[in-house]
Amino acid sequence: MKKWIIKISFVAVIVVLGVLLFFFGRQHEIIIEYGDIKINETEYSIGEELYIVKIDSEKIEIQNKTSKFSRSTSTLKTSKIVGPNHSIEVYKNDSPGETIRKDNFSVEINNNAKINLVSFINGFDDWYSQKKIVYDE
Amino acid sequence: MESNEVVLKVENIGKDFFGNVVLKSVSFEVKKGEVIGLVGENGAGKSTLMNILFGLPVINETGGFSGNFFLNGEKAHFSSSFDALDAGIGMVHQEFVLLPGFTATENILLNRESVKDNFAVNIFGDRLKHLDREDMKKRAVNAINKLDVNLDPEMIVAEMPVGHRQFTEIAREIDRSSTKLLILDEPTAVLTESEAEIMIKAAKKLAEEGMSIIFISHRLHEVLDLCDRVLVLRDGNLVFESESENTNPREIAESMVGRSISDFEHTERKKELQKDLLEVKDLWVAMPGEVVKGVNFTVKKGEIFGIGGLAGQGKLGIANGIMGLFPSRGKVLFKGEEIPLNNTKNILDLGFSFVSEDRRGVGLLLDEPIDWNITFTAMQAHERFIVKYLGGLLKFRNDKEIRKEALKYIDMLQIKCTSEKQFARALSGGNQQKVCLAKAFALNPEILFVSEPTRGIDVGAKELVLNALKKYNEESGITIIITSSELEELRSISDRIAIVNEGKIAGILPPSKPATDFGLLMIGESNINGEGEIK
Amino acid sequence: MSMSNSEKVKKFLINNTVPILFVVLLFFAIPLSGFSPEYLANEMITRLGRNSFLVLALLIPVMAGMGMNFGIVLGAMAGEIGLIFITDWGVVGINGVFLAMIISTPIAIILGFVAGLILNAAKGREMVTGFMLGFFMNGVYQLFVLYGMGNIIPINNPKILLPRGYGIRNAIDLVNIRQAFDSFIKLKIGDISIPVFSFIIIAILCIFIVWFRKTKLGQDMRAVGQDNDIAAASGIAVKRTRILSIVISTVLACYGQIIFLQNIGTMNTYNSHEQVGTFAVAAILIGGASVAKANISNVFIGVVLFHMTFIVSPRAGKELVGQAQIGEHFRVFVSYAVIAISLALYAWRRQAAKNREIKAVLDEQNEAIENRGGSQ
Repeated sequence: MKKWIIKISFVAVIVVLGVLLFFFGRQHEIIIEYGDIKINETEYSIGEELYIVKIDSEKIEIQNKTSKFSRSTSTLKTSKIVGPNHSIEVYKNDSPGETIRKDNFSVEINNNAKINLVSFINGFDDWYSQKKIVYDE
Repeated sequence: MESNEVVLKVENIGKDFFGNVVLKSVSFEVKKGEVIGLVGENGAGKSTLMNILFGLPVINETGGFSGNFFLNGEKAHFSSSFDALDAGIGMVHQEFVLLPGFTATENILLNRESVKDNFAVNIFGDRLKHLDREDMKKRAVNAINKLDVNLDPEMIVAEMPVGHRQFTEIAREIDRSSTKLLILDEPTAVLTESEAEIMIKAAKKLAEEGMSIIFISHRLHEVLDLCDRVLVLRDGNLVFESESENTNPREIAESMVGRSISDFEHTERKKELQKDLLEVKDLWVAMPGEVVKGVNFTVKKGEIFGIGGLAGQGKLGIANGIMGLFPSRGKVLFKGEEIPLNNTKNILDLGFSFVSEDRRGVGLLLDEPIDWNITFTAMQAHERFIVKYLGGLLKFRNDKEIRKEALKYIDMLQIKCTSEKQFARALSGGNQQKVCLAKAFALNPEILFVSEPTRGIDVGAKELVLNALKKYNEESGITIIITSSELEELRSISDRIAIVNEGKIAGILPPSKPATDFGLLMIGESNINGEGEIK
Repeated sequence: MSMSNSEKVKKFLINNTVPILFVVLLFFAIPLSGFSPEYLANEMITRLGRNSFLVLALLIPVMAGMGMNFGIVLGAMAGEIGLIFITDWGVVGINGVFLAMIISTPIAIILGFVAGLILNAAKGREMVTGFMLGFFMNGVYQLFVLYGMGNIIPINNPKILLPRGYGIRNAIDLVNIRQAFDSFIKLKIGDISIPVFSFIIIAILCIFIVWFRKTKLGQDMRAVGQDNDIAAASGIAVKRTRILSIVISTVLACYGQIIFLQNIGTMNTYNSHEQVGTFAVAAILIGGASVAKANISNVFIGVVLFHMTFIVSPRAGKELVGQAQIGEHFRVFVSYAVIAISLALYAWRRQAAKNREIKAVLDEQNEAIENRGGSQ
């Protein structure tokens, strides 16, 4: 009897371990949006400065495409994150010591994360949203 | 240490294999610490009786048995030998059931190893328990000490002398603490004399400590030496039972065969032997364990030439060497012409035939019927028993001839079988030996080598085999060279006997000489005196 | 005394013919190839970390007397199925590797069990049966992966699915778990980087094997390996024991293949497992193992010699014949040749042991004859 309990719990531990590995090992896409937004008739933008968005320990550079040679009008940047819990920190490139804003966010298992950078640095609350992982064909 | 406590009580046990009765209402008792000798010819029912006691599945598969037996007063019925083992019956088989790569300890405790718990056991089961080597060794030494023999528990079985293997087997049964009754099935058959002595001593010691033993053997003097009581089985009946003190080998042997034995007496031959047929000059044979170091002898046509000597002295090497089974050098003249050595095919073609002492190795096609076994070689070598059509283009087996030939030998050698179509595997050892002989006879050889023709077969069968050889020799004038370790056997049929000692022929004597003369030659005594120039 | 020494040397040479042959071969090939020692050391360490586990998986069936288990191909397939799943789910890094192992374990157990059943029915011909079993299961695997995945088993990631919507692509990029084990703990000495974590895993397996030999099950396997009948007569469940040895081997091979592929970083869905059995068997045989006897040192010696030959031979071939391709052919040629030679050598060696006894007697005779000739 005792042995059966140990056996079953061993299998259970393995299953739980598998689930945990799945949760903490799953890769999510994170989309950083930095296009201009309009809230309460006010326009917000990141201007032309180079921002550093630090997600966990990975640094992502973000800057509006202002070069006249660039024809890209994209205001999205994507990266990968692993596991559910993450931190985000944003500062300007020329002043690394002065953090503009720092926060935490978490992704659900089947979702990708989306961050609106403009909303984030301007202190709004709706900077973060999630979207179900869908593979585009 | 004999007491009145009855360990085994057998009541009216009978058994038939599909109508063929092999045991008829056998009853006897074995007391605690008693040694019972069980003797009987091959096929008398000994093995069947033991198989019933040991619960072998073959008994149940063939319809069970009648009667009962009781262990310590409780009625026993085993469906497998594991039940028998649990109930306290241990059996030491004729063939070794030991793992050659394991040590004595590992073999003694095979599948009963001492184990220690560890955590993995909880998850993956008991088989992941650790072996407790220290305790294993302790138990093995304990069992060996009970036998009072000198056996290294750490020695690997493959490196052991034969006797030690036997002890290992017995120690295995002793370690089983439940074992109360030990069945020893011809434990001394493979042992040398000195090993057999130790073995007997060990069995006596075990009995003193309260173990009951059933001892099966063909060696009557051992039975009488060891056993308290002797039982004789004949044709499934218990025909004789006596305390060992009150009987003698002759009485036992007579009740075994059911007739009085003529003590292998030599009858002087009337025919004259003149022509030399085979001349052997300075023959050396590299047969491991039976090395021949330069022998010289001449065999006359129509003669029965015996080769005797103690085990390991080289007597077996002579026939094996001439037949080309082991590398040899020297000169062999057949009908005055030198024949090339180390070429078995050539020698067979010349009309030589060989019945090997190694029954399994060179002997029989076990999964073929008897008639095939007898005629197969003759068919291959001499195209006998073959009908040819279209000038030899089509060849068919002549089944009628094959049957006739097989029946002839079955009758002549009294091969015990259900029919000539029975598979060789199903025959007892003695009968297999007879088939081997028949096979050699069917070749119609000019010269027949026979090695140990009676090894492992019982008294009655021995006589039959020897008589068959003799008759064959007289009727067809064939020359026979017989090698045997039993001197009496050689004396009973040979015209001359060569005794081999240390790879050389110590002397050649007629069988009429007293046994002591042969004995002296065997131990090399008269060699020294006779030649007087041993370096 | 010197006699017995020379006998010893002779015995050693006979017992280690194959490894010695390869050492001699490398002795000439390494200077010819002109590779630097650092490069060779680096390559060797990578390959030891990558291949040892798979080769170690062969040890346990040898113990149970089932010869070289070509059935490890089945384990490799199980491992690959695990990798397909984690790639689809996007589980990355060391978590992904471990999850792949957990997922593929039950598959490997089932495959191993089936293989064990079949090998039990083919007693005495385990090796060739295992080899054919690998081919057969390859077909089943292809059916499963090519038609089952995406149809019956949901697979969503278009990167690994064929454009038609079901079936897995021919090549899967394992970039997400690439060298996750190797770089988990990494040590660099000079120019040589050492995948410490992989070696720790391999060391754990070695300890497991040593420990396993000392268990009751290990002892039973050794008994079964020597003689089925005797083991059965003593009450050991022979068939079950044999199946267990194949199951363990298959599961280990499954982990071995995962470790192998995380190092390589890409997976050929339909080919990666094909020669796993052949290469692993060739490696352990080059290490001096035989069908009946193999130990841990055979594994490492074998992996080093086998892969050193691979690294060195293309360049040596180029220097010698002017063609580098010869090395690639050489790889396949060597594996099969070594297996064939080792098996033949094994049979020959057994015969030789018998003959040696006879020869000892002959020698003694010759000596005796010569002595006698002298005295006359």
